[in-house]
Amino acid sequence: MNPQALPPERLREPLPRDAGSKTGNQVDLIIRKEQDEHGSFLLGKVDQLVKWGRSNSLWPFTFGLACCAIEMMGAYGSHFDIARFGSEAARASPRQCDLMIVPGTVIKKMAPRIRNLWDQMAEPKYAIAMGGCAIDGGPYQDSYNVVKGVDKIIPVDVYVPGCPPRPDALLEGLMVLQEKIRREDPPIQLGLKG
Amino acid sequence: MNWLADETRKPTDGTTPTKPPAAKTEGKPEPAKQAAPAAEPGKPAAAAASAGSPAAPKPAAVPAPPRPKTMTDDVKALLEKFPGAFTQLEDTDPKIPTLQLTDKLLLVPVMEFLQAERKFEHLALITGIDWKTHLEAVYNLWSYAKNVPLEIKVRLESKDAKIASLTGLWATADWHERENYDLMGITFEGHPNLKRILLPDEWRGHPLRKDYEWKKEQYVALDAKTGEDHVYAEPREGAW
Amino acid sequence: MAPALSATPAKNGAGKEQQFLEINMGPQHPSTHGVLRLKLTLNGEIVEDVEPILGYLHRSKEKLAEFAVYLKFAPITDRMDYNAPGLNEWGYILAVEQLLDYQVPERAEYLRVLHGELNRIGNHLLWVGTMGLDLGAISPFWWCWRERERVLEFLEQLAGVRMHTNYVRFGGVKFDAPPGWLKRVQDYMAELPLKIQELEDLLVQNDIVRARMIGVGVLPKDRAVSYGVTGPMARASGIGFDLRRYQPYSVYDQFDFDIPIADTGDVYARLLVRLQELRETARIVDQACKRIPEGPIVDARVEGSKQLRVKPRKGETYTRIESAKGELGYYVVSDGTMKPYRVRIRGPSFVNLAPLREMCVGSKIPDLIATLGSIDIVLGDVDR
Repeated sequence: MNPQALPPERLREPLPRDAGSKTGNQVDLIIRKEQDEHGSFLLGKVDQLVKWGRSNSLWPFTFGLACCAIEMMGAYGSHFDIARFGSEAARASPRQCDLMIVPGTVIKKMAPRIRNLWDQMAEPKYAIAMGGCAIDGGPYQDSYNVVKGVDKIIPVDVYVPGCPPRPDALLEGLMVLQEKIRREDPPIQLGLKG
Repeated sequence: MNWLADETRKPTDGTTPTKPPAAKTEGKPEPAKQAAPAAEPGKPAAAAASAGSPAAPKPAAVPAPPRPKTMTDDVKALLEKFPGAFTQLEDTDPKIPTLQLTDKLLLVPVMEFLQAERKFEHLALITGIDWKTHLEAVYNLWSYAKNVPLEIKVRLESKDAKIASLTGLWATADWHERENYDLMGITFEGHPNLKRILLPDEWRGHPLRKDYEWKKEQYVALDAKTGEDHVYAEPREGAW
Repeated sequence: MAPALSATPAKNGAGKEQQFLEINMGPQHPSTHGVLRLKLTLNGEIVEDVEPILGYLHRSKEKLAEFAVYLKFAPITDRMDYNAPGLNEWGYILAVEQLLDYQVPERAEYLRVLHGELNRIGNHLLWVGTMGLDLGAISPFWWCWRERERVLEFLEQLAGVRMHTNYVRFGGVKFDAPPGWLKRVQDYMAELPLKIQELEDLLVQNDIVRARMIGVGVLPKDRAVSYGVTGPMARASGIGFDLRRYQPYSVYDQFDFDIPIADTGDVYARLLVRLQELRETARIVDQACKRIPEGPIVDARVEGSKQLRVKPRKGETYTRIESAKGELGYYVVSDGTMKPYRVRIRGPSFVNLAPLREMCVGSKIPDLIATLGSIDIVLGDVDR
């Protein structure tokens, strides 16, 4: 059921970003969020559960562009261990991931491909710009071939500065992202069906 | 004083050694000095070309001590086999004997000779340099058998930089030449696949040239159907 | 025009015409070691043609060199071969020093060697780890990265930063070894051969590794010479040349180390050569820690902010060092000012990647992946 088809009085709050309208997916069940205590308590718990699940199982996309990828691999390694944050399964296919860490310089030739990969990821999806080059071009400000920042291509949630940032800096960025997910608008929008 | 420029060099100058200067193995290069009285003794000729031939002699503060031209066996053999084709440069890098090939049509025979008979099996690098008035292609060779280097320079025109390709002799010349074509705009005749290697095929201009407008951005988009890149001069949706 | 393919599609069992499949591998791919795009033409699983398409990490470093003073380009060179960054900047500083008249003190030379060789250990450990990943083995990855963390710890204690240390300066180095550092490195060099032994026990006699690596990706010696291949890949093909032995720069002539050479030129040979090089590098580091003299760490004429105002004499130089991947060369053209006129970089990975087609045509995709991994490319070096 398309949320846009509901009459206005049924929609109490603006829809969260992961309501599925961007990729065209339709939300199967929409139950209007109740304002009374019991409803909020129950739904609040469900919200919390969903956010807990999402933030603690962010599966990153194996996407190494440049030097920051080596420190990202260091974060995957046994010393810094990103798996304890739930990012155990780093997949190569964008369909199976929800976190795109962009480590390294974004080159103009590569930019459309990054956009493609981002579009192929399913919602909810998050992006971390790791390293100076992904934040704003880094040391390559005068280069003719560098896109000055990956946020010109995809929406970035967390910026992790450094050149390259230590693996623990990346893990801190991951923790900031987890906090951001926990504070997001309620992931399930409840409204009465029909 | 641009003592390499064809128009300034006169036959009586003696700058082009028509026979190997056998008597001057370690001595200072006298003919070259006569042709370039104003230049600093340690200044390499190629760098002199970049100065744009200043009319007045430059006041040299402390001239570096002149380095003798290295006359190794390979240089001697080259000068014997190809008389008149080389100008021996003052070695800017004292470890590498450097020769300027004035007749660029002889490039392939010279390289064949060096590879087959003088045992220079390793082509280390092909460099393109933009001296603003002209371009230059520099070939760095190395001999595994004898543990010695050699450098050959060839002067090219800025507008129409063409030189023979060495892909027939060394397989490594393939990608070096493509990179020099891509970034410097030197066309290598006889190359089997001379297209851009680092930049998208449709890129305009050769970035490493001194007159390239690097501030003017070019934007690259991906064609969804063919998978090839398109390059635009203005920003647009889908091009970065 | 690409060369003609060696075979034409055969009719399949049902008598129908088949077509070769043209498919892309990369630029995003778990096994391409970075943003490398390979245009594959496949006959089933057999690779008929592979065309590497580069430029996805072309950061135009050679152009950037012309924009700022000499010292400011050194950190940019760090970011080329990002598995062993200390060696790149050493090569660049060494190249520019040919046009300067500074005298590097001996302690600084030893520190440069230590810094460079620790980077080389880091690179080879990384390579063994990712080579295992290419074959589908995950244990080498964990073990190698555990050891690499130790090495990066030492670099951090020395230079303040794990990667991209920006440590080598004109006429010396930036920081002195902290107290106790040399002893810690020396103790670790006694431990490292045991860890290398663990890796060897896991990999070298392993049936799967042998089946996947022996006879795969063969590059004969004459072709390797023609392709200008250098470094461990060349030594695995029988070219017994190491710049540290035959054209020693810095203080390498004072160390006692062997050069591992193999004859077969396949992926297995490259594995053995690099594992042995790890041991030899540990020997060099051990000797350097013992023999390092006391003294200044930088030429007094160029201390501090004078580094930024360095003015090499007019000239050109081609200087090369043995980086972790092969011969890393810098052709520096100076016009007597404080900014370089032209810096051309010979990236060893760029040159070593060229024979990929020759090594892989006719083999299967997993063999292509193993071969690509064995060349040890890093895209920062390929595209610069």
